[in-house]
Amino acid sequence: MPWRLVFKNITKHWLRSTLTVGSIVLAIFLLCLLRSLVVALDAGVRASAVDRLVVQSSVSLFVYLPESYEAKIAEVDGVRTVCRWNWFGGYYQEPSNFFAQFATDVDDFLTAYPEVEVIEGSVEDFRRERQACLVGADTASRFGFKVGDNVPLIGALFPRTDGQPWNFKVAGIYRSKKTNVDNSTLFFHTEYLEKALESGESGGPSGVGIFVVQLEPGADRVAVAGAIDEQFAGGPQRTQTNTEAEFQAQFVSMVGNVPLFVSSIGMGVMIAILLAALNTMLMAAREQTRDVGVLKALGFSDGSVFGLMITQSLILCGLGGAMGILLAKATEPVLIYLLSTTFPGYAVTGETLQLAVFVTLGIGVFAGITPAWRAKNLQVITALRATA
Amino acid sequence: MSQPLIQLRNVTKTYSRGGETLTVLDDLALDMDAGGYFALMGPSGSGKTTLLNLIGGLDRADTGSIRIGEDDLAQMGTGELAEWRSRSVGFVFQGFNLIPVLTARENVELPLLLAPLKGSERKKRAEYALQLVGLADRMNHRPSQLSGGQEQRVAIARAIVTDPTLILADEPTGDLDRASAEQVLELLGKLNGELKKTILMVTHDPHAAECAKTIVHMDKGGLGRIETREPRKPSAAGVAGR
Ligand SMILES: Nc1ncnc2c1ncn2[C@@H]1O[C@H](COP(=O)(O)OP(=O)(O)OP(=O)(O)O)[C@@H](O)[C@H]1O
Ligand SMILES: [Mg+2]
Repeated sequence: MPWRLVFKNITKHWLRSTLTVGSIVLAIFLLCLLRSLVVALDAGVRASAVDRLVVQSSVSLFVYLPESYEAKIAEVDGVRTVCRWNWFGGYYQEPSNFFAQFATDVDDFLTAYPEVEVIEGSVEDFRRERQACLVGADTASRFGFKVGDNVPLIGALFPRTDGQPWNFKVAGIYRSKKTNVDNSTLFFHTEYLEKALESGESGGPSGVGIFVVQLEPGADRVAVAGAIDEQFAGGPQRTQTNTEAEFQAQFVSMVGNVPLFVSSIGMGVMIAILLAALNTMLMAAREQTRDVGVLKALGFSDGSVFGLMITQSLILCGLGGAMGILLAKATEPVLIYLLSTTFPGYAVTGETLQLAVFVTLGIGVFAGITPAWRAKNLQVITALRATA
Repeated sequence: MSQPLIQLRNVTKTYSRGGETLTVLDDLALDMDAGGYFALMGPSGSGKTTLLNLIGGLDRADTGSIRIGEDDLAQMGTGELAEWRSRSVGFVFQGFNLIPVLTARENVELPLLLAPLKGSERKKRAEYALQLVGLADRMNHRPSQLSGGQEQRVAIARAIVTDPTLILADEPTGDLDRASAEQVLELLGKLNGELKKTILMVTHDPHAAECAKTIVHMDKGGLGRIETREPRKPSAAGVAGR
């Protein structure tokens, strides 16, 4: 095979080759990016603990359950701890400074979530002080919160009657060992919120958003979940108890439409780029019709001109694909950092890379096969006559 | 002379175009001896290129046999025919047909890629062939950097680099000015006279045809007069070199 010719055909029109390679780099990078975002969405579901159940209203996640349910759930066989979770919905200085805050039963929370590791400060201080809070490492570094700092949050859902912000004291900073808990949440004591509501210092809804149940070792998840729901079958609020994985999956399907929309557009763009690259390669191949005729006249076999054309395509696509993959891998740390709040668990996995390699080869063959086939079947006299 | 190098018997070639069949070669018979220098002349459309392509194994006859030396082209498969071309024939076309992205030397080396040769040996042979056509100093130029005459000489170097017995040239001087044409003809004469190559050249130009030892006239599918004559010596002398 005339390797020199392969090389020269590619380098001769370097601008065209560069643009073709560039568009493939972009397409493959886009593919890796979209795949990794989907991976991020699923990360919470995959990392979910098997020994936790989530009790919510069977109507909707946004309907509160009565406080009294806590004690009743705790009585069910197989339940080890019950922990209340209430969405606080406050913001720091500006509404756009969004991060999640939850009011919880701190002791139960710490028992049920061993993956939450306090990396700075003290767990004991968090347990002891009513206004203490535990802040995720990403949020802490985003706003520069340090252990011992006072964090004022405007209560949008729970406005204080004096018009002042709520004050939380950072007792510790945590990092989660698994992706089901992100590193941007602020956890604080349910009692703090309760007392303020009771004393009229703050307005806002009463009741409990969700209960997180930690199971006794060896307890049957399905049986316990069934027993809990049965207890409240007669009201006043019916419940729906799911495994943590099912609960997380619910969020994925809630935001699911947006990523689907975004990835459909992304896919469309990717395909458009690929078609443009394909078109360029077909044009380049057509320009070589006469060369193919000459090679055949000189005695090059049908197979070798086929190889010539497809190799050119594979080299361009392979180059573009390899660079796209490298780019996706190289930007991974930056994107993990940038997307830590919106897409925690962003990761360019081996599976994604495999897919990218597969797609790259696919494009290479797809773009090369038509000109290669045409070259293989081209009659010498037709090729030479075309330009004589 | 013993057996002729090229032996055509009952060769017929038709093209069909839109239901119409056009008989280009009709029951043609022709012998050409080894070491000959033949010019093929005739009006446009008389089938000269078609005949040349059949002899060179670029196309196939509908019926009849074409023997070149010991080889019967009709019996060969496509792959065998390609291999035979690479060993036995050197082509020179009117449009030069060099590969534009390759340098003169790389173009000349191209047919050698099909022979079991080391890179250094290929390079040496390509350089020698370019020297023969007087372009040793243009080896690293690309076709676009050469004149038409020089391009055609590179094409001739490419045709002879594998040392084939037969050189087929289709209007090799068709696109050239007088001086360049004379240079090319001088070269062909040298290949025939000194290197004993059998040459078959299609041409419209009586000046060019005069340089051959035998002129074969073609007319409407058949052969006409065949004249054997004392060839004219082409003289590039007096007309400036490159
Ligand atoms: N592939 C083809 N399909 C259809 N018709 C063809 C084909 N090749 C050649 N012909 C026809 O066959 C006839 C002979 O063509 P050929 O090229 O052999 O002529 P020629 O003698 O070389 O002419 P010229 O001097 O113009 O080159 C012409 O009428 C041409 O149109
Ligand atoms: Mg012709």
